[in-house]
Amino acid sequence: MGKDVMIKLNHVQKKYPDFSMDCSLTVYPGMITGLIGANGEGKSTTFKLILGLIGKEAGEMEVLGKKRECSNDGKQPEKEILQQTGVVLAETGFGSYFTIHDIIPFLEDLYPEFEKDKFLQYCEEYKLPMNKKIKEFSTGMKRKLQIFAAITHKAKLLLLDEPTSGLDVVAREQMLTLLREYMETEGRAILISSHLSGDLETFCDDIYLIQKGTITFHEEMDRLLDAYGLLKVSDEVYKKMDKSHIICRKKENFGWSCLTDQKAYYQMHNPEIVIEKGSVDELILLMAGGERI
Amino acid sequence: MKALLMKDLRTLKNERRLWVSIIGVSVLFGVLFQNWYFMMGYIMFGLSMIARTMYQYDVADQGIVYLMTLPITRKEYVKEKYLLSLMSICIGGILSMILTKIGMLFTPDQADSNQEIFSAFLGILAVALVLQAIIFPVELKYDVSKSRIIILLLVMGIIILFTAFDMLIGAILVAFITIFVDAFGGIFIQHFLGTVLLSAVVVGMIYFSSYRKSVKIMGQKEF
Repeated sequence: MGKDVMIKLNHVQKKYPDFSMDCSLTVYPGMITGLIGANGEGKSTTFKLILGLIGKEAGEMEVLGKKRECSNDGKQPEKEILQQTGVVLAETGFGSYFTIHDIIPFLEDLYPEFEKDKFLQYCEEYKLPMNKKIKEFSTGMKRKLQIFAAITHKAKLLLLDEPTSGLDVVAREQMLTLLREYMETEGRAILISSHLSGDLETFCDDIYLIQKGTITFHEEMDRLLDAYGLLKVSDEVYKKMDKSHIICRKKENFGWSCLTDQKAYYQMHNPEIVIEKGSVDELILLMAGGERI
Repeated sequence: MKALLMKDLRTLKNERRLWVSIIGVSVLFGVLFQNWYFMMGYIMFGLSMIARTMYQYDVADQGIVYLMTLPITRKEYVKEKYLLSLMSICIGGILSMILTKIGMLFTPDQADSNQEIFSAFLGILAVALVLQAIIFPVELKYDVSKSRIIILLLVMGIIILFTAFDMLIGAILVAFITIFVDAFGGIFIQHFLGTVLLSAVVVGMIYFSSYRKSVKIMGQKEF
């Protein structure tokens, strides 16, 4: 395992009766890595494995320079690692019976580098009610609170599972801006999952696609948006065209939809073909519903 | 662990009406039935539920999943719950001893010595700690509804066992206990401190074993 790696999963395996994981991915310092996939494909399971909420059965895992073994008792990361990690997990959060004032001393004790003033500033700026119980917060407010708690203790690594779900468009952009500001400090990294592909396209440096517990695709975001394209061709055109740069295809009413990583090639050699810009949505739809070539 | 204790004490403060009600109701029972030891037991057993109730609050809304992503070890989590349990039972006991003494001032015919009150406190403390030692690992291992059924079955099992025992060899057992008490009862009364220390060691061992079991259960739990 290299030195400069924030997270390294190498064939990390986990088996359930109706689902199994075999996941390999790497998150480097200075990078925002996206993890995408349909519901139930293993995104949350990946986060839980990294956080030690569930134990891996095989494979190698390294988080912030520390290896983790397979045994049940060893699955939880060391406290020092968790102090350097900020977490937002879908469908979990602070206890409902607390107010923001209640959780501040709790965070101060857990994180030696907790930035109380910054936390309070964010809560005030984004209008979180300080004296209301968290159970009375909206989904968006709860999410914002988790994000503020994750980014105000000088964490090196953020693990964000659906951090913008429940937020409106404006709030989503505000939170993503905060996360970009968080990344301005050197040596940090984010692993983020989201259903909202638009968020990831403008935010992530690279993405992993997970399907049925396995990583089936990995690419830099710039390349995905620039070089990838969606070809829409009839059956006749499909028969004649060069398929060497087609990654996957899907049968449609009009013929075929094909994903290529060489959009420029087809623009030059097949100018008659309708080519749409590559996007995360198209990637997921084709990889999930199509067949690999 | 300090953060966890702060969190639970904050929750207790937010839910103080519940715990004050338990104490209030037990005082009412004590006054109505003129039975101060019943009041003592009610307070101590009532407050012994605090740690388990805090665990149930953590489990609600998946809060415990989030807690486990924070810099808190699972061992610390269990340690804090056992410490909180011990603290709450002892504080409940001290409070109930004070209330019992006050109550007995109004019922001089029922007044007992301080040693007798203290002995009652120790007896209830031992039973409360042993019950906690049995129940908490069950609640940790199984979800709340399943653990309630298991605990109910355990209690029923114990009652059936004792009933069966009593029916089969009850008379022999009573005779044996009578001989034992006649022979050795005086020793326990004369050597009160020794008896207390021996009981403390036994109860302490049970409580510690339960703690170790709970740490193991928590370590293997998947969220």
